[in-house]
Amino acid sequence: MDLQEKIIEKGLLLIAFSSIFILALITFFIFEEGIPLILKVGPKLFLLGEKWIPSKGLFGIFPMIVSSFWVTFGSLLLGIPLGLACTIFLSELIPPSLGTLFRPAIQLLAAIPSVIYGFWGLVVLVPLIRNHLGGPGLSILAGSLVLSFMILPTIITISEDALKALPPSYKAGALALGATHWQTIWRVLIPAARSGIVASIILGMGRAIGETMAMIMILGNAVKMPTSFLDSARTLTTNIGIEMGYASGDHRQALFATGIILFFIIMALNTLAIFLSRRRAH
Amino acid sequence: MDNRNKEPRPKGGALRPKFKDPKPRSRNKFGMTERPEANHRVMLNLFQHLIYFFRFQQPTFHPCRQGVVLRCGLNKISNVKFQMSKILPWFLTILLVIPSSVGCQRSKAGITVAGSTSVEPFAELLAEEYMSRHPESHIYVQGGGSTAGIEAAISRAANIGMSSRNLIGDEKKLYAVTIAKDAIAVIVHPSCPLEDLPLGRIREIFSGKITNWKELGGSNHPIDIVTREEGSGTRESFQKFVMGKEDISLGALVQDSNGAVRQVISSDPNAIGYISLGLVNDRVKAIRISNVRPNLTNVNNGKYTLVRPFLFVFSGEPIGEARLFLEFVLSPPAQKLLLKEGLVPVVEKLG
Amino acid sequence: MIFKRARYWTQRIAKFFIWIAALSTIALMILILFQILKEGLPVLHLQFFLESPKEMGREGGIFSTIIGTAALTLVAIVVGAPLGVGTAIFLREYTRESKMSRMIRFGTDCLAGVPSIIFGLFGFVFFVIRLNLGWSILSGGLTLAAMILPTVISTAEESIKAIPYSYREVSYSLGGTKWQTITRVVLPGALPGIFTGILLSVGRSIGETAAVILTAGSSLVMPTSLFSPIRTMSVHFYILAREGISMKMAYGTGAALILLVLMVNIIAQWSINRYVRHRT
Repeated sequence: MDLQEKIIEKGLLLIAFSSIFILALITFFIFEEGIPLILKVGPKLFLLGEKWIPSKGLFGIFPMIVSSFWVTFGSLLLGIPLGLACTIFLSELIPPSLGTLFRPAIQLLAAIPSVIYGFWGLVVLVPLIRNHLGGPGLSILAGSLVLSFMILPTIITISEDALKALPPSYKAGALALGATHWQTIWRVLIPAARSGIVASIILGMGRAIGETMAMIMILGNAVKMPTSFLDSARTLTTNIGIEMGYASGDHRQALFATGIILFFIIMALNTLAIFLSRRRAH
Repeated sequence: MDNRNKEPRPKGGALRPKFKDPKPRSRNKFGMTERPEANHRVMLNLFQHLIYFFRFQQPTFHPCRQGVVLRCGLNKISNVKFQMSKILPWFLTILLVIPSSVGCQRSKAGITVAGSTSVEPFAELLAEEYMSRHPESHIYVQGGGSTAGIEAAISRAANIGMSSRNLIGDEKKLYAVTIAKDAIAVIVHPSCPLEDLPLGRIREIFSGKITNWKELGGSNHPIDIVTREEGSGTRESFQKFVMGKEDISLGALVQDSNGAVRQVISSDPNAIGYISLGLVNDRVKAIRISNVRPNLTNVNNGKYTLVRPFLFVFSGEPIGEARLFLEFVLSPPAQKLLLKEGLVPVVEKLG
Repeated sequence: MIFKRARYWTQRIAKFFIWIAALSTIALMILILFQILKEGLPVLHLQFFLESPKEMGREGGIFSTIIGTAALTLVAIVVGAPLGVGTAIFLREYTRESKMSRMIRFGTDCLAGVPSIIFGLFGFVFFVIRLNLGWSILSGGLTLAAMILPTVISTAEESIKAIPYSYREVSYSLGGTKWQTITRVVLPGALPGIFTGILLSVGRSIGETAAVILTAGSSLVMPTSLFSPIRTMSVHFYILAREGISMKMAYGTGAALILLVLMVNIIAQWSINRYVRHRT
């Protein structure tokens, strides 16, 4: 019996390491394909080069990094205020009967595939932008808007968790001291839940940077450095997505190298978010 | 094995049943009998070992013959109620069995045709037609781009590679067959007043030298250039025929298939792009180049020069199913199908 | 006096804006779904679900894509669920909070954050090319299994955590070994929660596009084995939408996709509320 128990324990130990094992595999293979190219082209030229012309061997992903940043920044610009508003609404202002309807609705909206949002953006948003604001319509603006819809449920659910986790004495104390409801929310509760809200924003940012399919549909994928919100652009993810099927040799390795950069950025963001939310738990 | 070969052949043909007493069957090192059809019982015996192992019991083998042991074992299992410890080992054994059983099916999976997304829709139509005539065959059509398709043919990842451009350099040693010819048409939105452009102007538009429609006599709107992605055979053909030494503007919108390019242009009145002639429909307008209308007549008589071959590429002489498919594709009914879709057939008489 | 007035009005204005912002945001998102459903529902009749796509998707239905989605999800669950549940069992039963368990949790959290295109790249280079599985249900399913692992692990852990320790004490006192306790006491009780986690991951893998395109291919033909390439519903929707092959079919596939995902998640939500005690 003891031997069998020990075997099972060791077996489970092996299984438990599967997630780390898979993570290590992913890291290894992506790096194995990508690092040689970064070394070949030179890290500075790769990261800061402004021309991405694979047929000529030019692999500069700076426009992609800038575009990723712009699209994410734009989505946060819209997502943070709306997300915060929805969170406050859901946790404080909502009549309880509506609440039982809205909270599951938010969870369900989080589960909708991103291609659906991308499709809506393509069919509704892009013509709207083209007809009223100019440009090709396939633009960073469209991408930011659609992306903000995608990250809203993430921000809302995690921030709401953060607000719910506050000790009730905070709210009771503030109200007892004569603060209005709004003052309690704005000056006491939100600042107290600050780290959880920031963690939710960072997780939302991680999701925004990692979004691929919807962005391919509505960003236009031009390789140039974007100069305005109405310009078409290409993020790190869409660069991989749109050229992966066709790439070979150096070109393919360059896409893996793009993947490495993406990987780093998202790992950094996620580690930050984990660190912040763990700190909150203590 | 030796025992079997030394047995005398039965008279009157092999089909006459032999009734003999069961001989003691010798087993090899792994407990497998020499008659393959009896080995499944040994396998089930092994499963019983496994089950008893997880139940922490000693296996008790009934002293009767194996067939009865199987029944006894199954009775034992079916008597016990639904419990986790019963499910888990079966779950795990199924996990082991499924991959091994389908492993043998890999060779019968059918043929893969991979490569250019320009050829892909037509290859899919041909595959559909072929499979309706030969129901037992399977043809999987995959995109990926001309370069990827040629590579797949080289590495034998695919049986047939599709390419929408000519082979270059090292690729020339592959076996390539032209299955159709396709023209590249420059398209604009139907509402665009432009009807005709000389090649030089097209070059200037796509390289970014001309940026506004008013320079061409249209309204004051910036031109939205739409191009295919790098690695696309269509883009390379366009580059070769139209751009020459110049690059397509970096600010051009990029889409990864002809259909997507057509989609963008059909909804943007200020857009211009290029797609396969066979894909032009009434939602976009193909413009004349130096007064030559892009249609099949002009391609056939050589006036329209933006023509590229659709190739099926093989790593060597095609054999088996791939050869049959190739022969079908080059046959008159298939070529008529391609003609209907807007390609230029390579077979002269279509009957 | 003035301050009281100011505070009162600030509150009214702030609350007003919050109500408007929140309601309009949620309304807009629901509107997006409604628009696709409105255009797509008329296309969904029984034939649509039972016919395979013809003429590259211009006609016919979505049957082969439904089969593809189901096959891919099945492979993902068969591989991912045991791994996830095993990890959860190990974390909860066999160790306490140590460096090893922290490391495992960190690995799981990191895996949860990896974007799907990276999974696609990994699956492409590892399963399709190195292991020579080709574009197949197997490659796609294994990649999806890696993607759903974190979800399964965290839900399984939650539900195992919810079983009171007294249950285990009773089992030990009756002479059960650790493994017997786990399989006969803990797991059956945690099973509803685990199934919920599996359902949630099913919901996610249905909507997954990027990783699937790169590993399972996009063939419309009915698959014949685990090694056939296959197109899932979301990939089909993506291709139809981008290529403009048929807007009608695109809306139909989109509506089917939305309905399927909603159904799976509603069941999962209901199951969570009933069976898994929520701990903040």
